[in-house]
Amino acid sequence: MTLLTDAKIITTGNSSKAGTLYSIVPDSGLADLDITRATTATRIDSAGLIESVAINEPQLDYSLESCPSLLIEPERTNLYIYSNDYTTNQTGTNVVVTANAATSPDGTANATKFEVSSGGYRLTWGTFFSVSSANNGFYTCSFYAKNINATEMKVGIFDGSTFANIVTPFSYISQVNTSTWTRVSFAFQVASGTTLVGVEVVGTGSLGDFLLFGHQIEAGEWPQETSYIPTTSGSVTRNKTYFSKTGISSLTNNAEGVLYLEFAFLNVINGDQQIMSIGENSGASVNIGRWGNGYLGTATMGSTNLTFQLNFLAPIPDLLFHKQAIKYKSGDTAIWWGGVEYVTSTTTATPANPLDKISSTYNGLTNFWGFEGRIKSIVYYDTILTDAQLLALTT
Amino acid sequence: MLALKLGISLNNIKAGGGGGGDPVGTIITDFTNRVSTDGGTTEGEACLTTILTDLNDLS
Repeated sequence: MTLLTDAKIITTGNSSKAGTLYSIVPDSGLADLDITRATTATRIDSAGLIESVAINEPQLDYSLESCPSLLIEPERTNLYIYSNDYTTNQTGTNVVVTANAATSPDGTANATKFEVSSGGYRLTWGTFFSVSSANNGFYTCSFYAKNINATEMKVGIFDGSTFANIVTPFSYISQVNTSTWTRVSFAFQVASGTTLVGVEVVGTGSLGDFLLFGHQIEAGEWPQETSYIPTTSGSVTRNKTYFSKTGISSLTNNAEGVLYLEFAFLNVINGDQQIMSIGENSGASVNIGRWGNGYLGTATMGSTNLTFQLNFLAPIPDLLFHKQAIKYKSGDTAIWWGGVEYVTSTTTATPANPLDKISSTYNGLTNFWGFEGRIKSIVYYDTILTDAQLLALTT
Repeated sequence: MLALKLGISLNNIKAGGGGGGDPVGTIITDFTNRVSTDGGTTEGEACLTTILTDLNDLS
């Protein structure tokens, strides 16, 4: 027997249709995940291009690696209207703007060329973008850029009411090149009372020819761009993605087992709890994910936490893929991460209810503390593994 | 005991170990057929092969 043949559930980010992420094990389809997201979204496909995905369709994303992973993002709104139309809602001087001048990151000829001469600039004009100081006033501006022959490329943010700089145009030319598209991203913070902002897409001081595509401004509890959300005349919201599947108790064991996850965080900022689980809020669940600024693993049996130390702040979170497993059994529970056993517990408890649900939420609750990140694989075993197996599995 | 006499560890029987061939490949073929029949699509098969092979190599 191997950890392949022993697994009761194996789910990876490889096979999907709208509403479903298929599980390799079991082959009956009993653990195929139901995907919920009431809006369309985009992903980076295997060719490295931005591609739209349908409502409820999983975002199988290649942003980090050449292998796909299930991307689960928070809800975000692109406040930047006409996100890829640089001839509407803009003004400027000494800049020649040519729409549809080159192939863009979505693979079509809809990138815009800017030819900037001395003193040139181009910025939002007409309808500015509504902001507030909620969530500490954090926003992220992002866009794709590719140089042609420019000697300087700058971008800035200004107050849409007072026209004072919020982010003085700064140079990003060192981040981009002439052969590939680069997504440029920067965070900014608006002060209390600021209600409108605009973007100086060609910042004063820019000089030469370059291409731009797909501007985005999004608010969030943490400053970092999420997948591109195209807009036209109004802002557009991409809902948060959830997965779940009930009726899996025949695959699980509430007395002992192992839940394994290979995943990556979306950011390194201290944030909300973001957790996936097997089980329900009925006295039996196993959870893996994020707690504030650390990793989390819990097993709850018979209303007793078998692992009392809910979160462990070391290792320090990053954006890379890591492997984590939680072994649970009365008197023998442990959390493994990256080949290291970080937490153990000898707490005993009598299992209460079956583990009947797998979901991207804490304790199987509906849309509660939903997981956010990239999942490469989920594997579940209905018996505990040896330390040697857990070491190998998580290394 | 017979297994031990034959030098076979029951813990080392891998997927498809008794039948030869490519066990991971068989699993993937069956899986992708199920997905396709259901109207879904599969991508990154080489990556999937790596994940399943790594699991199959652990006993």
